[in-house]
Amino acid sequence: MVVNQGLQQPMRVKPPRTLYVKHPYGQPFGQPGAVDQQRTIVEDALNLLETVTEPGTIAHSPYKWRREDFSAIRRERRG
Amino acid sequence: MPIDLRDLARLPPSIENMAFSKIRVERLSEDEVVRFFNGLYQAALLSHDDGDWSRVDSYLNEWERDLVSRVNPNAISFDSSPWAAFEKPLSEARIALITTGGVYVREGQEPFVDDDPSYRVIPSAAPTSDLAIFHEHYDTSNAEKDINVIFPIERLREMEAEGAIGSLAIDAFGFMGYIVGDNIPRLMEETAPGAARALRADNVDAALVGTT
Repeated sequence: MVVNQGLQQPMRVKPPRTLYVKHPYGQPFGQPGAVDQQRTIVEDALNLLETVTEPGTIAHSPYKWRREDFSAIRRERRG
Repeated sequence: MPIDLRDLARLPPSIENMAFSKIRVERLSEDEVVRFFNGLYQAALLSHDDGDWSRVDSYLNEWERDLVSRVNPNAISFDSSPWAAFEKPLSEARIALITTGGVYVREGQEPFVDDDPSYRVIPSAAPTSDLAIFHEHYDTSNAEKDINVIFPIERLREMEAEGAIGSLAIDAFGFMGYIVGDNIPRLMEETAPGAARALRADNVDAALVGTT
């Protein structure tokens, strides 16, 4: 699966599963040192393997590039 | 000192004002920059009024689509998606990492050059301090600070250690995503299939591809 910061490329190339992240180019997985953000994006991308059933699906990541509490998201996922 | 209008949107050195990194404004005339900002202002005003900020997103995407087709009119497109059903749980799957961000091993591997369709085999266990980047078509400053922003190998190692994924492939693969002209068929017919064969030989179930 692909993590892409734009929509045009996946719409043209049609990878089987894409996670579209609204990040500036050059940091598809988040900000430097932001372990929780990077981990969240990696998990979301890998989870597409189990959830996507339609070839060419482009899932939109719901998270803001900054000002998102990724440590809370991680805590919630860990239960 | 007068401000050059184009400075407002040029790829900036810090992340604080990177909002326009998707618009390669350095390739635009001043008239087009004015048109871009006027349109953005208008979209922002309308969105501020009705609360629908997806309008701004669509506006930026339209500009991106237009600029990408201008920069690379031969950009590859396909009519359909390849598909292989994924039938095992992630906790049993073997995962490989692929990047188009120009990552290579500093000692012993050739750096990429512009328009380079080759790839570098990067051991998944390689310390991140051994890795380097060559790519002249995106702002690499944050990736230089922490390579996980383009190549999250440390996050995947953590997931492997925790059992969240079954295992990490022996190797990751570094490509350099700025490839044009005659090197596109070389990528599609020679180098990319070579990487795919290596993944298959390592019994990889899925690849995580980070584009830059």
